Amino acid sequence: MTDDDEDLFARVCDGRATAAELADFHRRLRTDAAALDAWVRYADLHAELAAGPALGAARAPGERLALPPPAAPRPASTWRQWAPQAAAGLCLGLLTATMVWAVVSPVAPVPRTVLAEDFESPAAVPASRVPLGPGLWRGDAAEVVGAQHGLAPARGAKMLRFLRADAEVAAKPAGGHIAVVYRLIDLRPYRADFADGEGVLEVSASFNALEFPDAESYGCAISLYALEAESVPERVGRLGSALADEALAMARSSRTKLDRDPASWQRLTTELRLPPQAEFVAVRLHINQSFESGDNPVFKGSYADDLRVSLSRRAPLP
Amino acid sequence: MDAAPSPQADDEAFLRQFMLGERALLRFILRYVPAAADARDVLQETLVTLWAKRAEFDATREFLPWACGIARFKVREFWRRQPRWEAFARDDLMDLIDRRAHEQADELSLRGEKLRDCLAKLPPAQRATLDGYYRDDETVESLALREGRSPDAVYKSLQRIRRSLLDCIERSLRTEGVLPQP
Repeated sequence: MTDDDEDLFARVCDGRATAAELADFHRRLRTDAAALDAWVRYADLHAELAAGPALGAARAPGERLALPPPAAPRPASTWRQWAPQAAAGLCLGLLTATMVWAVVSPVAPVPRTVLAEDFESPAAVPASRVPLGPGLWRGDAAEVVGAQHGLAPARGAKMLRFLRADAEVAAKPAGGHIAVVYRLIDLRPYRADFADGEGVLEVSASFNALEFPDAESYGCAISLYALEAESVPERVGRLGSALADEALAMARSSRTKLDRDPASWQRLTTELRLPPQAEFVAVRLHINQSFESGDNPVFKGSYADDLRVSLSRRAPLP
Repeated sequence: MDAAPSPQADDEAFLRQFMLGERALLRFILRYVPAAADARDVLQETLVTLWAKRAEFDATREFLPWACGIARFKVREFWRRQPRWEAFARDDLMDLIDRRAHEQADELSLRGEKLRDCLAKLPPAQRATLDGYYRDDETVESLALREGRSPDAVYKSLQRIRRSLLDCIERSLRTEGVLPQP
């Protein structure tokens, strides 16, 4: 193994490789048999240390086989404690997949799954524009639906269907309309993880649309706004521009044009490096139709699903 | 006449396999998604899917190959949704790595055995760094704070420790004639 290989492998294993370094890593594995051999050995060592028995002496042999008692209190979790807890909950029918993810978050260092939203609960419906508060979906009219018109949810049995562009109608783009929903997330429980300014929030979601005429087109985007508590707007309404003015930092994914195939979901990911003083983040999911459909624009078949929000210390996308 | 196993008994049997396979699955995933934080995300996705598909599992077959098959899909999903990793999803790199790992399987197994001896030879400070990072999931920043060093110094230290472990393992394998002398 060359010194260059070793430096690169170490950066990849420690999650510090840049996009250019990952491209170089990919090229070397593809084209250099010696580098591939070296990687297999290096990765094996790394994996043994991370997940093998070598460093796991603190755990008694066989302990992992023990089924947890049904009423066991939920411990302060590290990721290693997730499986028995989750599995116990699953056996008892007490935990949904979304809750399983939530178990991971309380005190585990990083990465933390901050939110996993599959829109399985009717409570996910953005019912109104006010109040904007943690744990609530707010924004334009929308509904939680199951598979319909040949379009199945990206995850689980339900998904979010955008219905109308209401809240930001005054800020609509020329020749089109935007339907948006917002979710405010309280970051204060996680502040220790980004107090040094190195925390990165990653948000991804899937979008889809029913087959639509050639004259129409649809796009989607995710925006993130890091906010101090005093800057959180109380209500939705031109919220996008208000948030952009008030945000400590913001990020937005490139708008992706949706295809006409209901079988394929577009997956968008956006990352935001969190300023240390951030206390909340507003996640904005957005579907736009780039054609006029009157003053009360109706979205006939636009959907979002499988929202994931996680906090890590990985370098943001270049 | 014997009673058919109850669904709960089936679930418990599956759960035992599930728990036994967790670490092996993480080791498998780390080969393709090396950053531990990412690998754990992929592992969680895999475990949730395994549980959802438990009714499809054929108890007469080995659990781990079936689970690794699902993990492979989850790795590819991860590659596809991470722009920085997208190139990995576009070709047969996973198969290439698989083949090489399969060809080296005996040696890798021996390396795992030697690793324990080599870990025992590490100076206490290095062992503490390694335990903090790998076993206790401490962040590099937290380790740096505890050890009074910069995060970069901790990363360098981790790299040196891995290097010294590889050297130790290979010395041992050479002594036993498993690897040729340089």
